[in-house]
Amino acid sequence: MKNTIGLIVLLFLFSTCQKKDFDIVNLNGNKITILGHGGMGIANRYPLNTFESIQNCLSIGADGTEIDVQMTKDGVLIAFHSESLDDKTDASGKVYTQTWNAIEDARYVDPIYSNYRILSLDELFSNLSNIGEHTFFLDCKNFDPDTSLTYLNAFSNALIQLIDKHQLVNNIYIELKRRDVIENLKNKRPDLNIFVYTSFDIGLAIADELALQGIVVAVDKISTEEVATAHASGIMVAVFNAHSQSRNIAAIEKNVDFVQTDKLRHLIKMLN
Amino acid sequence: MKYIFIFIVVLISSLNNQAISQSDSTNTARNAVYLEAGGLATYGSINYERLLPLKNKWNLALRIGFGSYRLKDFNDQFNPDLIIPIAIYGLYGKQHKVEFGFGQAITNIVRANPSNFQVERESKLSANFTIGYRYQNVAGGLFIRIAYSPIIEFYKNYRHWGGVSVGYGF
Repeated sequence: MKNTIGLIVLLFLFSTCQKKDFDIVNLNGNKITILGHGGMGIANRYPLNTFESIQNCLSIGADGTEIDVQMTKDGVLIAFHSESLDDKTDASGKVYTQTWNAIEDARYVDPIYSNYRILSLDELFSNLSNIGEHTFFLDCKNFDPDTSLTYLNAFSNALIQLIDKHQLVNNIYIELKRRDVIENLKNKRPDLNIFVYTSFDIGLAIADELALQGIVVAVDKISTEEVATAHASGIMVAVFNAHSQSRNIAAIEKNVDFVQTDKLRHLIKMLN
Repeated sequence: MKYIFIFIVVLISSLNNQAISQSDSTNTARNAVYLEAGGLATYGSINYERLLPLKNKWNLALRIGFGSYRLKDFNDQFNPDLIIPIAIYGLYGKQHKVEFGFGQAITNIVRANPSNFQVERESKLSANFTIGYRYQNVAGGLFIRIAYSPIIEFYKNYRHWGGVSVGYGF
């Protein structure tokens, strides 16, 4: 009886760890690019978008990472997810109302006893190792309600300056939600890889109309057929919300081009 | 005669109570090891505690533990975070005890240096306080405790916190 239980446990462990073979067909050279969500993912003890989380993600074998991007009042691009700094740090206020100087010493409040700090994208790309070998999905959070041309130009110029300074045109994919921001950036630099983040139908229409590279959709909000439809139009698909092993596998089976995952080690094991 | 009898009964009874109290404070099991979920090392720790009997139902307990957030640093090299909680508790009760006390957490956490982003270890001290309940048999065996243990992180930030422990007394 004991032996039978032991055998069942071993078989279960073996089946959950087993690497599967996938026949991937997509627009990314039939390969899925493995991206961490904000580095090591939302459940990791490194806070999202910290240097520690992003460097750790790259060091364990991910192809790259998604990074949340916001712009401060004085035009500095920083890696931070929430609209308000109060949410995760010891600083306060909305990012776009603060200057970089005022928040550069802000630290994440969790986990207790840690001292991880907010990061500008320039600091990140200046200090990450081998950036040219990795892929970065910049998830731009344009929380600032300003729709003026001054704001749009400032945001686009900050992105362009960053990408050119670090020679990352081929490594960076820009994920945008606001149509005005997309149009402004696309007009300035048609060579940049721009993805629109919205629902599948709207995203496909916008990507088609503005000749964008791709769309970003939650993995549970897109079907295999819809991915095939996007691919048939020459539009790539990136998915997020892959926060479980089953969602990682679902993303692979849907033949998407990029997966932003919270279960990074599992996806690396599945695909490498 | 009646009063003498009452006096003798009260005296015997009182001596008997004192004897019981003294044997309560002299625990036969003065050591305990336990795992704490949450608590002073924030996510969990393994701990050793030494009990020092005082008068009546009072005991003093000295604790030292070890916890960690991760064993590898952000370059995926073995380089563990170290969290060492130490504390002193006053305990009152027989098997069911109320505890209260204070202590320190000595932390040595790996992070990226804010200037050059290289791996560095940073040591800091944080204070903690505890009020809780524990079940601890005088003869040893099962040890259970639950405690509210707020942390004053880096002597600056007050953080509500708590923990649950299970261990063994011997």
